[in-house]
Amino acid sequence: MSHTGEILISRKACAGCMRCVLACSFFTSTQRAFNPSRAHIKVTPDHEGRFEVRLGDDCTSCGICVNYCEFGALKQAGEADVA
Amino acid sequence: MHKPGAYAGRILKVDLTSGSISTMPLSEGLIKGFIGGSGINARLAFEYIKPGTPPLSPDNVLILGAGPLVGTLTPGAARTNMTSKSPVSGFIASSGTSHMGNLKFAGYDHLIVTGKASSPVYLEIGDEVRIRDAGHIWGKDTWESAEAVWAELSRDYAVATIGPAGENLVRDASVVTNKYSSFSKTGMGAVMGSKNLKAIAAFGTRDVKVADPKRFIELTNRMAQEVMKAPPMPNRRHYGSLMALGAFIDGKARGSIGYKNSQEWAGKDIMKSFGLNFFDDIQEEHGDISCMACPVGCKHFARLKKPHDVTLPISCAMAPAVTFGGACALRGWPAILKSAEHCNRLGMDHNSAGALVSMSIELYQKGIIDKKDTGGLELDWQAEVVYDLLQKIAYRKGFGNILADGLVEAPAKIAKGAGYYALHYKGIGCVVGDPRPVFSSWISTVVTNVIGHSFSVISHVGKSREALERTMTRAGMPSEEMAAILDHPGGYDIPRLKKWSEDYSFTIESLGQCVRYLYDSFGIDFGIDTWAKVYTAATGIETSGPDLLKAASRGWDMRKAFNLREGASRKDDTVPQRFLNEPLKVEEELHPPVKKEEVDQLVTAYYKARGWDADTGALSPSRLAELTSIK
Repeated sequence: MSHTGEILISRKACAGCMRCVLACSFFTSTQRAFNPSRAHIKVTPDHEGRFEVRLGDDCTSCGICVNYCEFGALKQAGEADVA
Repeated sequence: MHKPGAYAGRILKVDLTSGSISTMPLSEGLIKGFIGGSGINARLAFEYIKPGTPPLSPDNVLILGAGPLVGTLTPGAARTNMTSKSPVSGFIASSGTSHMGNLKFAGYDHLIVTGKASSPVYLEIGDEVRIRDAGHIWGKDTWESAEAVWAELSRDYAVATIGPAGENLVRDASVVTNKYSSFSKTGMGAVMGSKNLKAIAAFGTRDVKVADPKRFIELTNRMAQEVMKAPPMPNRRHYGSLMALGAFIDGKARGSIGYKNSQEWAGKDIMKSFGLNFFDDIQEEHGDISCMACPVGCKHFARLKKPHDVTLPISCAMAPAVTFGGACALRGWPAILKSAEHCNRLGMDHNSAGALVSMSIELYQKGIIDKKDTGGLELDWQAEVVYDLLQKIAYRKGFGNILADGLVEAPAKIAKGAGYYALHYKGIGCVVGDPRPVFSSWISTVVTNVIGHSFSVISHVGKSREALERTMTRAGMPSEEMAAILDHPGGYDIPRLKKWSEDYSFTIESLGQCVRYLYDSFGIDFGIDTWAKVYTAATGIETSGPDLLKAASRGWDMRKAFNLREGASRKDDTVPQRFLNEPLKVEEELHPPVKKEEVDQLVTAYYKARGWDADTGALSPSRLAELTSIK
């Protein structure tokens, strides 16, 4: 998979599981730690019961978060849709 | 022992009377003795809560714990547990939820709250720990409270809050986390309310690190893939707990939902009206919502079509279906979900609040109570009656003030003989689990320390011999034990199977892992050996399946020891009177009442299987000494 495209977010598909956050911090931090404050993606509850998903300014679009999302909320630009 | 991975290694202690905040290390003894989460909570409860402590006094202690796998990418590792002394029963209170895993990122495995604040407060547990004024939040419902705390701190926080029910010391008050998950049963909300503790908010910047990152990711990736490939997955995600409804409509559990306070079987047509297609039809918008690190997403965001004024986050749709559609006999999903919204916002356990309401309606319909007793309310199986009673219970208004004292105490205050109509197991409302149609598996509810673990054996009972052998092998059961269970005359040896199911599911729970949707309902069973490998990869502590099961067994026995010390006896392991006296007609089948002697036999067999005294259920002195020597 090419990892050069920006990360695209489908907010309504987000289930709030934070697998993207945990994966991001684990794989991109030198500490190999699960730690939302080290992640470059943030998932927080909105006012209704769904979620806001935001990428940090320092996100490099490596695509790890896309790999760990099982809800189709994240996609990498340029990635072919799964048939 | 080196500092283990995955554990934060610290216990936070907050005394609300003095305002003191301190930490202590999580000991190697507790880790090896009881694993974590619920297991260690049980040990701490026995240590910190003195026998005879009134549950709503400042001397009661509230304990929150997150298992070691919480805060990692283990699929479904989101479970935290609250343990205390229950104002419902006077026995151990234990309740779990799935949105407080942030405690680990704040740097704590457990929180111990003692004393009582002089005015309403909430706890901010982050890189700093603060006791914050909550006077401006007191009085708000659980959703409003979460919004208020988020506005003050940030939306990064996991917020566990009580609503009006907890503030008013309603015995069945719950604690709702991030609007979704609840520490539902056994009255945790009342315990918090009694301490003037409105909410606990957790978030921090601490690392959760695993001992062997490469191995850990390899194992947990494989587990997640297995979950995603499982055949039940798409439906389990979309419908969550409702997938169990089929068994209650025309499957093995038919008749087990307590329609109109378990007076009768609802009938197939009414049961089908709770069906999955109707659940879909009324929703304008549906979201699959998940717990931390879980790829399943079995919770729901539901926005109903007009004219229904309901938009709600809901954890388990099955609970309101069996409570408000079953016990309270409401028709249609909008009324069921509206009732759920009332309970969630007010912060009350669905099952117990529903059992109180359905008991009241039956008493009124039978003329045992009248408008003089209900303060002018006419009680019928109608949605507006249910909503009104739920509100009155939460605010302790009129008749609701009596019901607010729970299924153990309230009946005697209502009318002579009302206790017959209060259907509960150790104070927790029985709205599902009528043992008349399906005796042998539901009977597990009778003996369980705290309701909620009964399902661990129910999901096995209907299996084929081959399937059960596979399950038992994965649970780490020795072959001679398997043979004894499978070859038992008259069917599987349920009490012995229950013991193993408890130990296995309690292992998973103490690790911080969801039991229900991975273990119970998916048909995916990673097996005790896999859990041992994941645990070792996460923590660096070498262990085995048998060692984990032994630790879980200690935690289970610790809860029993707590209850025994509070005066629990064999008489508490019993079935509601209705089930012992009345038959139940389900379609053409007439199920006789449960026989007391059969209950007694099963209780005795269960006590023996657990190594307790066969008559009293007491732990041996050596076992108690073993448990209490672990510090």
